[in-house]
Amino acid sequence: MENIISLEQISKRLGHREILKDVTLEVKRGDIFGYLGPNGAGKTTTIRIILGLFSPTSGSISVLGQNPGNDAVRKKIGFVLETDGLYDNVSAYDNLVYFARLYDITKPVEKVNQVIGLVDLADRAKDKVGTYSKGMRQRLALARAVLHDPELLVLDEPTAGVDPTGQIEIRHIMLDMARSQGKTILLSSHNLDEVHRICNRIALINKGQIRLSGEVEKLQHEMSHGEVVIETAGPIPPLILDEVRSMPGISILEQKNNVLSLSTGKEMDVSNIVTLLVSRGVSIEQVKKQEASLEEIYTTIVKEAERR
Amino acid sequence: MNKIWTIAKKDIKEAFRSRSTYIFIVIMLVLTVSYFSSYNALISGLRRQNADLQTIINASQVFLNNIIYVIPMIYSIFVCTIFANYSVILDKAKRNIESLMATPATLNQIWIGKSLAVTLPSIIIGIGIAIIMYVVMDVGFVMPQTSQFIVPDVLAIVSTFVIVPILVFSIVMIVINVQLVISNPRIANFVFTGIFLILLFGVNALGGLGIEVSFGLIYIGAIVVCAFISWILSHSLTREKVILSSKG
Repeated sequence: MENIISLEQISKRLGHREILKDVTLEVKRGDIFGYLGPNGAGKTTTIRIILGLFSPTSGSISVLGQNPGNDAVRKKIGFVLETDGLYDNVSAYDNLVYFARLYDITKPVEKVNQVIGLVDLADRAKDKVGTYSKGMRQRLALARAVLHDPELLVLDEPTAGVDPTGQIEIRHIMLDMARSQGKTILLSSHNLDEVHRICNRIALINKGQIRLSGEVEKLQHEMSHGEVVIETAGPIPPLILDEVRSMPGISILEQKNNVLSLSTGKEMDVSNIVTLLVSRGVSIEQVKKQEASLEEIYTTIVKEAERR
Repeated sequence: MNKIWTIAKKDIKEAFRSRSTYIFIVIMLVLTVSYFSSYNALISGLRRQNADLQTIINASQVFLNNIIYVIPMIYSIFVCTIFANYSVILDKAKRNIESLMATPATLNQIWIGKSLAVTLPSIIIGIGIAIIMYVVMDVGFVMPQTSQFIVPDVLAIVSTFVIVPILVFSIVMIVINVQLVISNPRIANFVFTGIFLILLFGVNALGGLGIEVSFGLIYIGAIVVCAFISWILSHSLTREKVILSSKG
């Protein structure tokens, strides 16, 4: 799959502070890429470099096959930054027309009407943005981001400060953009649940260094502690439990009512346990492999980095 | 060019939505009164010296020329302080400038667009007030003394409609550039205030003494110097500097 964003050993120094250290990152076409990290980790600086607002101190970068410092590349990128960049004294409609003209959109009015409907703000289009709620502002910022039909969307905490209903709406809009319009999305967020719900790949940055990156499911598997939960129709007799316990690498964490929790190690094939139980006449209702949650992964990595 | 106009138009619209813009214009109209008293002082002095009519006409011509040279300039510069607030200062304070920087508009387009947003309304207001003031002065104060309407000389007219707008734009370009890259852009507004005060008191003093100054030449020289400074500054303007100097 083609790389839409490619950062290779990017470092960025501002004064005496090294904000980014050898950051290497790849975002492929069609990805919804979650970029995670605590405050001050370097997420916004990375985004600024991707948007061509900052130039890296060292390393190489390519966005849509070009140097992002090139003004033409910005025509292919849509963005929502930490501050929405909307003008309070101007109507939502005029805000969008303004940006449409900056993107050389040939029929700005038609396009604005189209995108403002997409984010469900058509009935408030003529109102000044200063009267909008945070959620409405973020939706409008998203509308601005897709005005020029960009290939890549760079979204820096688009749901920050938005109420839960607003977050869900924004999430739906983002998913729609990715799925039905085929956009590649780089999403920087503190909201792990949101990232888990919509991103297929993630990277975690802390203290200016990428600590982990890859597909969400793979990472969850890799970071899991090999826990399995087996639900049975009835209680498992102690003799059978002893047999399970004697299997190599297995320890029983808990057995309560009809639920058996096991620690199996990452490489253990669960089917061996299931086969044993079934052969002993135990009726199995459900087998669940407990993957590491994104929250666990995040906390583990950040704490590890803090210790260094 | 389209993007330059787009940026300029939006900033001008925003400025005219604020009440403070109109308050400033009223303040400027009030300031014109000082010129009327300066003229009266000049004529009273000449009368005490038993000056003939031709001397009074000549002195009035010099005084009116000074007005037509200087008023568009000082008033335009004064209005610049308001429009610069909307064009750059507010944009940086709210960090809207970062979103503008992330669009395909080039740095020069943003710089020129913002400079035009400050210059155009300032020039129109400055020249408008100068014309009103000239006519009121000529008809209300000079004609009763000289019995004739004194027409400004060609150089003064060229200065008002060509040289002054270019000079104001050149100064604004420098101020906007500085505002874009410093963390407290209000400081750069003191350039406007400084020029305004020097011209206001300087010209009043010269007018009172009946001294004619070659403003056209001074302005042209100033344009050349400003253009050179802008050229130097253009090399150091980067998106990174603008964003890092914005609040937050």
